[in-house]
Amino acid sequence: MQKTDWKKWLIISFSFVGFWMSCYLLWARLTNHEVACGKSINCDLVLKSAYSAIAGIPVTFLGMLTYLILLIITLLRGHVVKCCDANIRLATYGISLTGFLYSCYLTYIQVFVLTATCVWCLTSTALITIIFIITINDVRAGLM
Amino acid sequence: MPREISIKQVLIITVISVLIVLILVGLNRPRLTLNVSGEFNYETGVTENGEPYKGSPDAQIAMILYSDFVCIPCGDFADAIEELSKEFIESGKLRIIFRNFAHYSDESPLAAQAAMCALDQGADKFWQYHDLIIENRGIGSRAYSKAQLSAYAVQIGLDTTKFNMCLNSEAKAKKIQEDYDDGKKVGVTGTPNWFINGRKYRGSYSPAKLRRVLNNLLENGK
Repeated sequence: MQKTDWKKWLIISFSFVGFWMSCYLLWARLTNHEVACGKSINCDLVLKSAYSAIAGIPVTFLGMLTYLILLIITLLRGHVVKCCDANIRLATYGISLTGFLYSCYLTYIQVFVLTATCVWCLTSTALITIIFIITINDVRAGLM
Repeated sequence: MPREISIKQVLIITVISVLIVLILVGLNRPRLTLNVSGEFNYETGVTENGEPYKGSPDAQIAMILYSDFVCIPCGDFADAIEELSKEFIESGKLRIIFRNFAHYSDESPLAAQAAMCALDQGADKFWQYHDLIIENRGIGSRAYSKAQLSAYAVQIGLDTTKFNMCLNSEAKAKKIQEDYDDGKKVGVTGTPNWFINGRKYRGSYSPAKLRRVLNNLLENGK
């Protein structure tokens, strides 16, 4: 396996986990199901907070979309559209940077505004942070 | 790996990403329509049992609402009720009777106690205080600390000496616990829980869903 390959598969794996988590949280929100959560942390308070939607769109839906796009374009990289490899790497960088910055904002809201944390949200922040770090490396390697 | 990405491209993508995040953060602010002015276009009062209400006592529908100030869906539901207040409360069709069910966090009982202390200074003051502390829920950590609750009392012109004495009163704190126990006895399992004609409804309803429930009750009695 080439060096870039493991990075690619790491992004794919983390995006898949992130996508699955967002789907579960979105399902729980839409069907009013209680989210499985540890006792010491309050997922319900975070996931139903006034900050859990943007103009009526659940943040979990945006997360799901972000991970899905990351998953698809990374899978395409080096296969279907070889010509656009640089553009795909740039797009992955841009999407993961957006996700990373917004996750930082949401973590701030959890810790300092809601004073409640949600293990799902923190896991998602960790996933997008790792994806972002990988894409920085990836973009740096491709710099002219 | 072919080197085909320029610094300029990376910078452009970075700026676009930051702009998108700033827009998302700007859109992600809680927007409530609660009435913090204290000017109500409907009747407010206190029931024989000492519970605050808003709306006409002759209203066709009486909703008994069990709520907790810390619970975010409770705030959303209060907001939904406020949105429909012109249609149902001002028109004399709906009366809301408020009961505390302080269970959500360690700040819940104190917030409930503070609201009842505001009630001691008038039903209008209760509802104004209710709306103000819900409007500010989640703003800053420890939004319902004793100091913060007193500051809200100052903001709406309550007699702060009386308010602070009440906030430190053990008898009042005991009453909040009794209200919680009473809620459990009648089957309250969380917040918001609300009862109309003895039927229990759970959770926060959107204004549209609440309107459907209320219209059904007005038209068909169920």
